[in-house]
Amino acid sequence: MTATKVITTRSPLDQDWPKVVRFGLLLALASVFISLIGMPQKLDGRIVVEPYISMGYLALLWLPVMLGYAVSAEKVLEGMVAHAKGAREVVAGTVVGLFGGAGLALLIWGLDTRDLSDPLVNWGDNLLELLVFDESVVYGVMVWLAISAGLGFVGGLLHVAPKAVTRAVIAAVIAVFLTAALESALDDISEGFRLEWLFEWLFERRGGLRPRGAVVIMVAATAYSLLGRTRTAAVKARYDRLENDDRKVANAGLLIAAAAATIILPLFLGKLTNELLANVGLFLLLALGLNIVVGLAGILDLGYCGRWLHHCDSHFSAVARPFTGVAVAGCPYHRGCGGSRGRSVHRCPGHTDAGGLSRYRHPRLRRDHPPHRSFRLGEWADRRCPGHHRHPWGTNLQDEYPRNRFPRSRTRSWRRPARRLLSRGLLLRRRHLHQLASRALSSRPRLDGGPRGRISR
Amino acid sequence: MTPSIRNRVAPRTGVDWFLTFLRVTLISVVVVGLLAFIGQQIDPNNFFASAVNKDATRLSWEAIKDLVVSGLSQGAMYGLIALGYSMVYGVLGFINFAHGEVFMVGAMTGMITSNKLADGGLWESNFVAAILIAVIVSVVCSTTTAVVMERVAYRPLRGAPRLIPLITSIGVSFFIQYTSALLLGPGAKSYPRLPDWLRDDVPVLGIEAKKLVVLVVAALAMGTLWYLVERTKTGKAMRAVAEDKEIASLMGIDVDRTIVTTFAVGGAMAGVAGILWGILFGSVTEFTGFLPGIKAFSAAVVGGIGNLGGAMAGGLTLGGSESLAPQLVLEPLGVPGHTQLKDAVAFLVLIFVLLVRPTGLFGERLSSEDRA
Repeated sequence: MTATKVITTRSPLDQDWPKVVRFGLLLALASVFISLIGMPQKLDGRIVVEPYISMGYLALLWLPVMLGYAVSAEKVLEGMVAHAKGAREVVAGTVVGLFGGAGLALLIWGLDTRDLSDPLVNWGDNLLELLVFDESVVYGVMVWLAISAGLGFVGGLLHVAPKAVTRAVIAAVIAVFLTAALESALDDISEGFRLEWLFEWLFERRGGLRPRGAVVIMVAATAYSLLGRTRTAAVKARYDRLENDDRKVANAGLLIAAAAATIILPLFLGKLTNELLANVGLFLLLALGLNIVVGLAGILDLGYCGRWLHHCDSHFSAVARPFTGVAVAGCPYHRGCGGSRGRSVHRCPGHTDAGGLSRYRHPRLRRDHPPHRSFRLGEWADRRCPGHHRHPWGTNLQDEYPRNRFPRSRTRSWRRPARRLLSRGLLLRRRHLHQLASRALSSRPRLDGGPRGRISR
Repeated sequence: MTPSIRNRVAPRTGVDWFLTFLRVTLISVVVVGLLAFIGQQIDPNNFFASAVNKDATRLSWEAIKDLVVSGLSQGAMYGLIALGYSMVYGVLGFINFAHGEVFMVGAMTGMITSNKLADGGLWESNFVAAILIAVIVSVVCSTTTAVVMERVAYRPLRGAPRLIPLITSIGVSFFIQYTSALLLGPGAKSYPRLPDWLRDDVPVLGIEAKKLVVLVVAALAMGTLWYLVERTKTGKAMRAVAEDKEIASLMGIDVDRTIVTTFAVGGAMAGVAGILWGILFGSVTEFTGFLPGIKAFSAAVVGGIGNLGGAMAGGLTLGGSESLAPQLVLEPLGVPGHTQLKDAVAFLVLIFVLLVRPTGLFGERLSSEDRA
């Protein structure tokens, strides 16, 4: 097999112009589209780095970099001729960026001279002011042309720069963006771990990263990209090399660690993060169920998540009455469930017939018929019980979840020892941690030469 | 084949028994309901009708005629949308769930155009010209949407397993729905007021004028499509690609271009259906395409997927059933809230047809790959 031959850099004007123009028009179209669906306006309140950039502007700024890079990206098969990257890629990126800037410039001109607020709801002065940075139209046009071309230039430059540098830059930018995007969750987590001081050091009170916070995160991400990445890769390679029993032990260890984290972490995380994780868990369960159905039965059960299990069980549980401590009573809608207390959800005849019909494969049915049939079954389920829609409990939202009707004593009885065990046995109770941390931070070296930082009572 | 294999009878499983029970139950319900309806039409106080439903009342023939016309006009729209499903299925072998949204785009652009024309005064002064312009704009927009959808979302997945484009089409469907909501604002948007001669209370040939318009336009569109598919070279290419892509390409047919044409024709039909929807119901939302889309797909399956005539007939069957069955079957049985169960009836019809005749009423037309 012959190796890929690298020949010299091509001339900057030796471009695939139709492709460059196509990408440029795509960028212009995408920029105008993003502006018109109102992303810049709606996300302008979310600051990434205060006072420099908001997510609203970021929604427009990432496009020239990406398309400026993509226009020159090419797959070179082994044995085929490859060209060295150089000024040609940078020029292509810049031209694509210019097209994007021109698209936004046209939009600014249109916003200034036409009124298309009917039917385009985001067309108006708000968008215009945002795009021209509260300055004149000419200023806005010039700035967008310059910014877009500059970012396209950066996109093209990513081909020329050494791989390590490219990786580091991308890691730094993504880290800053993710940190800013997850601000609320980080706030919540920092409260749980008593790290409010770190959060306040990194973030502005009004929202968004402080410049110093952004710099620290960029430096950390760059350092990880340059130094830590190889170690992570080495650990992963070592794990991949494990065989049989060693692998089983490693898997069991990971599973135990994940389970322990699932149990312990919610004690420290705040309400917001726990709700988020609860949702993640919910969808994970649904996805696992669907995955088993698809993987083992070979049927894409489209009615599974949306209708039968999520919808039906949610209604089922929501209206269930927890008499005598039994949380699930019976489905008042499905007469077939009998309304008997404590009957399992999975005994609901609706589920049984859904499963039965979905898996039933008539010899004439093609393999893609069952998913469609399942989808229809889901829709049918939605409509077959009029009570689902027109019952006094309401049409859409069941908000009478019987949370307060669980016997409190029972809840406490299992929670208390579990908490005690976790807090004492593992010494991870939040209050203790906080006390220990605050004392350690406030303590000073003792003059009598005692151990440094020791807590004196 | 050896005799032992030929004579072997597969044992009936629990599922088979359950399905037989389901078939018998459904047929029984329909028969008893119809008998009760006939009974109440003869005499609402007769023993059979009053035993089934104490509040039985006789339905006037005028009311029955209205139900039939409403069902057919709605069914004609389902049929037009179903043509798109059926054509794409015939050519690519997957269900384009986003086709309902192409219909919504047609209805939405029709609404925008007709409102602009109403602002300009053309809607009032020359309604025929105005609606023609609205139809052209809406057809162009829905066709463009369908073509772009094919180019961006489905062509890169041409060689992928069937489930991949299926899931992609659901994603495309959501994308179009929410793009519409973000661009044009969420909620219902109204068409301008129809001229007096198209209002509900003005009958033409004893039928509401706008429903007659819907039926006539749907019939014209169906006729045009039939001519395109059966009598032109493009249609022959489409049929060849639907039959076998490889052989078609060996015969010199540009498969990609034919697939794009199929999407475009399906989109055009959806655009026409969108405008008809606007005339019939007078308003449109970003979710307008969802339920009609699903029902149109059901219509395509009921008629026999891949079969264009079947799709139209399936649409009419489904529209007629969901209009008539609540009054003719459910109401005589004393089912409460029967008028609101028309969606359930539509899906029950589909399940019933799949249980009794899985190939659809008029039989499927499948590619050689699907038949294998």
